Amino acid sequence: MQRACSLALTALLALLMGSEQQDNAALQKSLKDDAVHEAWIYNDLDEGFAQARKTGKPLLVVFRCVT
Amino acid sequence: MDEQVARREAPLGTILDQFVCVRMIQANGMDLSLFQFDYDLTWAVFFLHADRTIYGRYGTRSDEGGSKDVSLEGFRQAALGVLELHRGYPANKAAFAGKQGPPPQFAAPEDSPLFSARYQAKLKPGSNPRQTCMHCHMVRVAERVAFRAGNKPLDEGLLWPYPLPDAVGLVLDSREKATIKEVGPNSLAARAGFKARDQILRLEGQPIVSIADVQWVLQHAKDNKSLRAEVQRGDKVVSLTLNLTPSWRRNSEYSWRTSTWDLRRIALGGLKLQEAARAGVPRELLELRVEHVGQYGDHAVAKKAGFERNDVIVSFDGLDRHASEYDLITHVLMKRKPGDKMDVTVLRKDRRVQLVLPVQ
Repeated sequence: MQRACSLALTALLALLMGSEQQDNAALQKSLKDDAVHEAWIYNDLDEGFAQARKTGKPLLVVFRCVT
Repeated sequence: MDEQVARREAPLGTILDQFVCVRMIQANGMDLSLFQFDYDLTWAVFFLHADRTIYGRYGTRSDEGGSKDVSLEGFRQAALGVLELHRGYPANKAAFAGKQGPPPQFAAPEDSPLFSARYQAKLKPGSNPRQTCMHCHMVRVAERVAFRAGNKPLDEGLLWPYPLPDAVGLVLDSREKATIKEVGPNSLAARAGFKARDQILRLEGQPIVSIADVQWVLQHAKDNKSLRAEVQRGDKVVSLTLNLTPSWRRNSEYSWRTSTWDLRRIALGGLKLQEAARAGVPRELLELRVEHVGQYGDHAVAKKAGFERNDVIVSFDGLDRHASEYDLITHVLMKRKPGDKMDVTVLRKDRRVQLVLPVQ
């Protein structure tokens, strides 16, 4: 039972994170902010910090007014 | 510049591979306890450790164009400098303490009373980002409005934010890492002993990788404070002391800033002014032509007071000597409180018209 709950929670988190990524992709498209290399994490600071903790690399955060 | 960095054009590509790169296109939800910078920039960079330690900032603007103050090469040099700092972390952690700012007035831009009814922390999917995205300059506007609500003259730090190094007589080369191009004669920097080609290593103990890092230290410096500096001069490290004088910030200029539009609302009732320079009029007299009259809401206060486009202001709250729009705004914000009324004389088709302009 516990394992089933844990799996459900993991699936829900993955769904939410995927949803946020989709939202950011849609936002990028609507802003026509196209000239962005795929290596950039787009509009997701939490993901940036997570990657920095995982890789040991420093963060480089660009704030850019696109609208 | 933004496109070049976003596309990771040479010579940046391999350097940026050594970072986790994040591109943020909204100020909604911005953690203002961490991300404090010159909010009138349209492009600003933070270099950070994953534990939120700030290594440095990059991004400077001194006029409406702003392109002369940044360069791909300067950005590359800053990034290389940060990688060196990262290699020395955490042994060098204490040096970065000063790069964190004081507690902010609001946790995030949308938490300010000015914007809380209209903006959210996250953009709703499908919403028009042009209507729901917050811009960085809105943070400064909200700070000033909150300060002004306290019915006080504006603090110099809010009116002259993030002074350029030239406010103390330093012109830095945008193509190099914190390297001095020129020192103004008889300036505060000249008196301190700075020389052209000096590379600023540390200011107030903080490692410096960019012009923005110098501006950060200046932003938090008070009048009459002495700033400790270390510079690389040839093969030597030289220690210098920069002594600031009263009102040193006023050597900066803010009229190019996006947030100056709101200062025009507060101090000029929504007017935009320019030098009239009429033939035959002595240069030492006040002569500012109304280029634009705000039409809506609080930006229409001058319109309601009777101001018209092409009016020429020749007397403003007792001032009748030569002054710029910038000078008038400064006068109002430093000397007048919300609700005060100012007598203004304009020339309109060669007639003198007396008007009363309220201060917001």
